[in-house]
Amino acid sequence: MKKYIGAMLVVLAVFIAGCSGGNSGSAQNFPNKNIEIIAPATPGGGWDATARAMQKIYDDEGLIEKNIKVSNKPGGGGEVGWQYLKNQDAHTISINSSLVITNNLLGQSDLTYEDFTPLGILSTEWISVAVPPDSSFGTGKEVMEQLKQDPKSLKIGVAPSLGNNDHLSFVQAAKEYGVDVSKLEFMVYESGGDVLTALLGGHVDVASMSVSESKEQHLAGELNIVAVSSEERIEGLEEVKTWKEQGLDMVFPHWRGIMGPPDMTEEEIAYWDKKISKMVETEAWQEVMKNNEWEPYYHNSQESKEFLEKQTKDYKELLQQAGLTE
Amino acid sequence: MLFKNITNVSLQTKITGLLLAVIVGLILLLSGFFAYSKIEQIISNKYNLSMQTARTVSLLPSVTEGLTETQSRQSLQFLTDQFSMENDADFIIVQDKDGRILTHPKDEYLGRIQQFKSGYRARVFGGYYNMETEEFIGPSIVGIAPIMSSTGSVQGVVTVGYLKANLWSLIYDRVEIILYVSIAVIVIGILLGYLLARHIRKEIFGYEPREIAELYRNRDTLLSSLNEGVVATSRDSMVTLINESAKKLLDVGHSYVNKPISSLLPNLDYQNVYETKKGKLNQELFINNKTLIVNLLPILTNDKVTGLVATFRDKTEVTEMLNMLSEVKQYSDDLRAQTHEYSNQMHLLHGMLQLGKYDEVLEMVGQEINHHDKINRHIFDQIEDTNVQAILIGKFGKASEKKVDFNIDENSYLSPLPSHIEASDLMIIIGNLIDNAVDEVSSDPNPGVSFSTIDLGNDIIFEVTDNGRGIEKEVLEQIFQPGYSMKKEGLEGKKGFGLANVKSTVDKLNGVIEVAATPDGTIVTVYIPKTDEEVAE
Repeated sequence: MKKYIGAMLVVLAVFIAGCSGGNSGSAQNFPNKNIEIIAPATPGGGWDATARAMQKIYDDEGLIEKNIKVSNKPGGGGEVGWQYLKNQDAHTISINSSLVITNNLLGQSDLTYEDFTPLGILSTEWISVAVPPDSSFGTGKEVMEQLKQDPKSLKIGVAPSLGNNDHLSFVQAAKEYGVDVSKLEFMVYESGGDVLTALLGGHVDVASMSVSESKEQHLAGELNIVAVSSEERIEGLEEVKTWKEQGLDMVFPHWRGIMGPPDMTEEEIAYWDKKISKMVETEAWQEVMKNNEWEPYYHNSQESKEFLEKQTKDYKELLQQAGLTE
Repeated sequence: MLFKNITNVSLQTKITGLLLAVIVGLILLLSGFFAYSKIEQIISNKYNLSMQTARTVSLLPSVTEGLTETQSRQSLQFLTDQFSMENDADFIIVQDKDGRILTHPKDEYLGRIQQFKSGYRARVFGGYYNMETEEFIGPSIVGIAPIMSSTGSVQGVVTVGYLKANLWSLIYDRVEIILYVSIAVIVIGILLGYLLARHIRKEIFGYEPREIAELYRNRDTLLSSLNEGVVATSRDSMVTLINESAKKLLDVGHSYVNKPISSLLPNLDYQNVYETKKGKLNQELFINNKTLIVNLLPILTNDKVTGLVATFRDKTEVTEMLNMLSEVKQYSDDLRAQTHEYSNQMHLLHGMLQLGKYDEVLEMVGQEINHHDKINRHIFDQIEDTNVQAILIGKFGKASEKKVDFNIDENSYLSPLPSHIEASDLMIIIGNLIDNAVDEVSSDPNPGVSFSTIDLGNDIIFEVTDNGRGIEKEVLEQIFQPGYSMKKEGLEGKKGFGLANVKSTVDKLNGVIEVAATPDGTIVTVYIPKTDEEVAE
């Protein structure tokens, strides 16, 4: 019964929206107050860095005349920030990542990307698999072969929790290779730093982490990257083969994007499309990419929507055991 | 098959059927909605409850301990049994990270290693979720939660389940009530339908609608075929029915339905009929230039007056018939007078011949021949219409019997009349005018009446002239009113309708009648158009 009432309200809302669509006074004056960019995490992470980079570029280049502030709203893997965003207007936008999909699939959140308005995908970084320098494994494939023989024979380090990109990327590769992933031994650590320590201390045999976390150590000879999840080999890591080159058909981006509250008008979406596409073309943005070991991965609002749809489908497939449908 | 017979089904069955269909339809719709929302509610409730329970159990410190220490497994079973009881869960199954079953409602499963199927997402990714699965015991709704170590790796999986079979019985229990209520309502519906149908049947004497329709049709045909006017009323004297003849007689349209009958037929003693419950017959009522003879009858239902029926006919019509009859009688009298006159003359001749007065005989016969010739020439040569001839011959006899000098204008000419002017019309017009003139002057000295006719133009003109005293001006207005008479004697009912009849007959033929009073007497002229033009009513 509630469902029908809901449906009727939606119809009514659409109707009202249709009626007031002509009255685009608000859209013409958009934005008419200060802009807020939410980083749903503590300062210092990738989300925070992305939000602050955006704020800086918009201010420096004068792309947006209104004041912009960054709000950190950490908690629940983005949940806190996104719940806040849900009740704001189009002057508030938030950084997101694949967590907006996986949180829901893993029962951490009721929110999905459909509760928001996708505005863009900005950047991606790639995930690496690393072993200690003295490891017997020289390639990712060798690691997977070992796990296929005996899934419990290796301890795998990830941070900060199961179900994040580092973890999912490794599981997908293992699945692709035919490993019984339900027997894998993941050791979960607080942070990338702790995983590194564990790897160097021999507590884990292999670790999955983003390239930005492992590249420097690899170049310093502290560890050895045996596979990356990118399409192409990564600049500065030309000797490392991608999973694809090693015969595993998978690419796993750790992307970050921008979304706004639900029910944004066409005009508001168009505004952000314009501003974001301008921003990602600036010199300053390229600089940010370089400094963080990120790659440009721009999709506009429409493309983002399609991308998120496809990602959701892919994640669902990944999280379900083969042949088992929910 | 069903639809073929549906028209033959009795009204009672129709009403009951319809009511039942509506009630059952509504009940099905509402019960469907209710049951559906109930089922939704129950299922979503089970989803939430199983998830909550699984989450709670997965977070219990004793569960985490039980995974690692074999001796506490028994207490783990107690614990999960307790939770099952509290939440009505059908099973709570705890597996360690290798899939070994640590608690299970059935003891024989304990210790078995079961590969993760439904629990896969919890085991590998640490996910919390609901699903429907047949993996354990039977088809069920389950909530699944991982058991995490303090660092965040998965140590085991909790599955809390509700069997669908039990769910259906639970749903059935809820919906059963609706079923009983529905059946009760349907029974009430049947009863109400039956009562309503019975009530309606009683109201309409148990007739079926098609029978009523037939009666109505018959009544309509019957009423419109009647020459008499019929007006029926409801209990409160409102007109419910009025037939064509009544409309014509009273010169009203259909607008009189639902008006009081007293506005239609005033001055009748309706009250009396209501009180005595007996009809009043043959009341005379003068209305709309007609005299009506009205019969009032009560409609009685169970000895109560539930309405009136008034039937009436035009009295003028009745008198016209009487007049016609007397006219014909008059005609034969006139002819008899003529024969009498003739035999008188024969006797005279006979006497004269016996006395040998031949010259007188010759003179008399000669006169007679002349007279006859003159008349015959006028009548038979110039007036060619046989009906008019016959009438005039008759009136000759009557006039000579009354010693009134009756002559026909020698300039009269009349061709055979057009067919729409009937013999009876002529008899009424000519006969009455001549009779009136003859009666008028018969007591005068030297009485004389002359008749002339001519049809040269578009009109046929009859003119009757007498040398009487004439008519006074104020009387002229009234002479055509029915019932007006200047005669002192005469039969009741026959008196005073002569001229009125003439007037109405002339009107019928679209003619005009003029009366002129001159010092020498009265001239009545009638103009009748030759062509029969229907008067547009």
